[in-house]
Amino acid sequence: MHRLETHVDPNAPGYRAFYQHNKELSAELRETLRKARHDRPQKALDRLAEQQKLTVRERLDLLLDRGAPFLELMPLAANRHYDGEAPQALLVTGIGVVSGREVMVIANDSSLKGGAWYPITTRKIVRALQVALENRLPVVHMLDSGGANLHLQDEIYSVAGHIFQQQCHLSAQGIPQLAVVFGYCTAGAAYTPTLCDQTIMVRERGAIFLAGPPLVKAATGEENTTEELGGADMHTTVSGVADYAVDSEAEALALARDVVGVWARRDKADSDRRVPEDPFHDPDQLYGIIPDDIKKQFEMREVIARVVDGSLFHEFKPNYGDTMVCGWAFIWGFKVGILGNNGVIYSEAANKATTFMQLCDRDSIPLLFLHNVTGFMVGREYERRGITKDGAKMLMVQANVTVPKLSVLCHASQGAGNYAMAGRTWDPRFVYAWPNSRSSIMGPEQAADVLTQVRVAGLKRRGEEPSPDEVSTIKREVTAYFESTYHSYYLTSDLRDDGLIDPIDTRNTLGMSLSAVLNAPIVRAPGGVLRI
Amino acid sequence: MPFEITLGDGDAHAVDVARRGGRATVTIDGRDYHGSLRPAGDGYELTLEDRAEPLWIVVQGDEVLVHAFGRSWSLSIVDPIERSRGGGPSEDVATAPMPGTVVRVEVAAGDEVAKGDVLLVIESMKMQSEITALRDGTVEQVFLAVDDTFDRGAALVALVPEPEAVEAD
Amino acid sequence: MSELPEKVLVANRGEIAVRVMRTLRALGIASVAVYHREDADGRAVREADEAVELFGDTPVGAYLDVPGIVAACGATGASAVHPGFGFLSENASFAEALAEAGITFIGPPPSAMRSMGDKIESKRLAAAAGVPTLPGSPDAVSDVEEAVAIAAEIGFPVLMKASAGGGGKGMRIANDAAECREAFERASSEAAASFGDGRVFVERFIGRPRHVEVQVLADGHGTVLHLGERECSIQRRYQKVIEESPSPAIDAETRAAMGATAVALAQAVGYVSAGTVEMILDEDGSFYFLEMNTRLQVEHPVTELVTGIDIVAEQIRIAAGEPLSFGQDDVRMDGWAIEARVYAEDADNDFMPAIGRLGLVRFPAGEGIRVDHGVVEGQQVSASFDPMIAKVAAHGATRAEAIARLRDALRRTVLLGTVTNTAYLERVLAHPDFAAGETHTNFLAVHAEALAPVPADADVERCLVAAAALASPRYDQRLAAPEPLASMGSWRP
Repeated sequence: MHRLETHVDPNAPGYRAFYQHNKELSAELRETLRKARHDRPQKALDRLAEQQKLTVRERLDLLLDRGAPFLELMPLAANRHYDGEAPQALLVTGIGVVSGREVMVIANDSSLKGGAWYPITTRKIVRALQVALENRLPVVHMLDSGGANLHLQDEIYSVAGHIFQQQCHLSAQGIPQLAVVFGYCTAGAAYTPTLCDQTIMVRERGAIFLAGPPLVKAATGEENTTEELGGADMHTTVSGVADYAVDSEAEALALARDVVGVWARRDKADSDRRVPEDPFHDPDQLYGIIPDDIKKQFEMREVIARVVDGSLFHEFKPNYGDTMVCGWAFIWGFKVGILGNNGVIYSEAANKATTFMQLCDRDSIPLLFLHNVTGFMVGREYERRGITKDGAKMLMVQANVTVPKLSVLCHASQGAGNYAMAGRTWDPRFVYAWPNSRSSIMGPEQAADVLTQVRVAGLKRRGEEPSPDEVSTIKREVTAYFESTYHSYYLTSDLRDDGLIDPIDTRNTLGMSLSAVLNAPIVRAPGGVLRI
Repeated sequence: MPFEITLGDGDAHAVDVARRGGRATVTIDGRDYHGSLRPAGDGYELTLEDRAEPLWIVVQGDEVLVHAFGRSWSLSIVDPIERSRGGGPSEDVATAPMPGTVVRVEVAAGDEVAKGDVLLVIESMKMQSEITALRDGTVEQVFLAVDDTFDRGAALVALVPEPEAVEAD
Repeated sequence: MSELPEKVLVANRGEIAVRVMRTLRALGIASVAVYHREDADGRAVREADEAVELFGDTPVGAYLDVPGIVAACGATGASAVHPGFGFLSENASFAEALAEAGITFIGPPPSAMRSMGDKIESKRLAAAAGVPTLPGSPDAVSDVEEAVAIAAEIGFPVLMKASAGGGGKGMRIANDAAECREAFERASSEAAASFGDGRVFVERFIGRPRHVEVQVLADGHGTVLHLGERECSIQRRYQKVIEESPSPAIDAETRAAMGATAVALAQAVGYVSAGTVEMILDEDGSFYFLEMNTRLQVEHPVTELVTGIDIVAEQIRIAAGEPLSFGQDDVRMDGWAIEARVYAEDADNDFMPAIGRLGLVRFPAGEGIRVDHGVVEGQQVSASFDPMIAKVAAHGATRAEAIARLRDALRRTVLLGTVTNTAYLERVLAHPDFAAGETHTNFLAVHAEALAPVPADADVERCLVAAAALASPRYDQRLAAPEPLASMGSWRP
């Protein structure tokens, strides 16, 4: 491997403009995250205090190992949905360290709406459990939710069953789960703690039942207190639904740390590891490298040089298919095969990527896709040379390699280019996006042109001649629609990635993700490497 | 939840440890300090931030004896969770772990008992077990006599309740 | 000239047994330890060539078992017994029992032990030998009014002292006649209870006394000489804790006078072997006979350090009938030596004896440092025996150097598992009055406040708390975060 050269000039005016622009995006992201995590009306905090409940952040602090990282996933879920009334979809999830073990934490945030489930909440839980299942991460459920938001039951019910099904699959895979019950787990939600291997309940506040006292009274006339019907002492001494009853949340979380500490520590998958080393080139310069406009191009090697250990890279086929940068590097000591776009994908670039993925698959090296792609090249010459065929090969191999895949949307990620680069719908283990990134089926301007042409043609078929005003209105409407739905904040709100990340955090985010993916064994399917 | 560590009869400190390799982050009362403890010479060397001190250590359960700075020190470690589990009314009354018969009564009201002292011996399912005092104290009442039978959970011997510990400022 | 014995039984335990065995080994003599079960794993048993278990009603009783010790000599073929100090060391009947069995007692003749063992008799003999004695009742007093009369004659304040006492038991100070009556009653009844002898001495009480003693050596051929003095004024509960040689309070002239006095007394009682004449030194330089200890002293190492003479070896040679191989003029005191007695006790809590298991033991070594100890790591310090664990002594060219070395040695004396007085001893040595040689027997009481422990400063406390946390298995090492996560610290995106 060799140290990547840099051609970045921090004194160039372009660099400075980019730097300022991206620093502002970074500040905006941090402020948005801060608000989503911490901004709660005083009334809401008072109510928690009244119930002698901690905030979800306080609970996390007590659960997680001090001095160890926590990779929060999907932190801006639902941030652009439901008029913002469900920040983070009222759920915190992420990969953290508890008693020295990497675990997936899924924690309700009951500061608002009693921690009720919204449709995105439900999908966020499902996604978190999928991450746990794929990466064999033990799960700590921290339960404190009023249950499904019944006004939105349709969208919730269509997904919620997956939660319990995944819990069963986790168990079948030998992945431990622990529930800490801080509030009520009523009806369907009663199954989450009950499907866990171990369950801790807080007395007087935690409860598990299929129906609460009012519903039971309505159904059978039987009168019960909450504690009698589903309280901690009843479940831990009579029903056996739960295992530990404690008096305080702090005690519950200390005990949770004990329980996790008793679980087996599993070895990670065999992979090339070396002693981690900071990048040689300053990662802060990423802000000056990423352009201030989605249409502007940049050199992906400059990004790689600021993410990988020692800025060391071994490039594959450096002189072939130059819009696709392929090569090997280490991130936090984990070996990865990197595929980065330097523009539109041509046949040569696609073929190089295809072979490179097969090589990494042969050696069980996880793949990292760095997106800046507007799609595959179009035009007569490229169609005649079978660009679609080459794209199909890339998709075929990408979909079927068994090594873990990680994606970072660094800038543009559009059309089939997103598919080829293991976008969200291709189920990579993790997908992250930079705040400047945009992703859609095609670029908004091209889409506006196409749609305007279609609409104008339709009008003309009916013998109408649209005025220039009408044409610009159509174009404006289409552009506005695209602008709102291909924006990184919208996409992350809709869980199209596992989190928007500040570019400076890319290295740590990938380091933790690589550490997580190696919890699952890499089983290679037989097959030769094609030189195409 | 961090453990509490107390030097001599001083104030308790909330202390947590996060390790990585030979290094560790010790959090004392909410502040992080980087440090390590490694064998050196015939004892150990502690590093804490920019300090390095030779010391000798013996751990005896939750007592940690340290020789450093030219003298010896005694520190005690308490798990606040364990402490909160102790105390409370459960220590005042010894209850029957299973139904059975009283075989022998070893104490009477007014007796001073130490933690672990046998209060009485019961027989259940052809096995005899000793019921012991859960704390030091004075016997307030013995509820049963020899050959009395009882159910699981029955009160056997009560100790005079201790006044709530007064919190010192 | 007689031969040295081939095998010697050491009728003692702990550090002094080990110390005696060290000399036995140096002289090529085999050693036999006797021990009570509690000491079975002790250092003395390990260092001895052979060991014989003794039994007794109490652990201390085992070491007082005269028939058992005589039998042990028979069983092992030991031809002599070194009694150390304490236990049977001043027991004339023991020496006689040994003699009856044909075993040499390494110590003085029983007659000298007897005459010096009785306070009244010893004082009478001392006075007769021209040794200054404290103004006081010539004989023990059993009548209160007689005591008051004598007190008035010698002048108040006076000290009431049990005839058969020791170690401060049965001692009372009286400032006037009324106090004298009360003090007499109490001293007398205490003495009667403790020693079965209610007789009491009345003598002048000295306000700022120093305890100075002279080491004598006498052979069986009429040679008696002295090895200079030791000052042992630093005492708590009438027990010495720091001793030094020479004394910072006396000059060559006084030394010679005290030495001559001690030699005269030894000669008067037909003394043989090593002995110590204890005296009280007043502020005006006058000194008075206190008592004579007919045995090796705990604090003998300071004399050995300044004179270079192995007192135990001399005892053995003398017992074997050899004449002293040097004269008074050959005895030179070189530099300064100070010894500190390390006790298992809580010096900050009224010197309460402490117990515990010594989980870690490290003694200092180095230039001028001598450590006499009898403990091994893992040993239980029990209340069964005297709580002295070790004697740490330092020798230097000057007193200041000896103090500095001893302070450093005490700081490096690691005894974890029980409370010890090492830090207290170091504070005593660090006190400016000690450095100035302003030592008197009230030193520790007068300076109690200045000698109180200072609490650890915040930095020190933080280090200790961190060390405890890092050492405790409570913070399970297996719970460390996996790499590289641990290296990321508390990073959050």
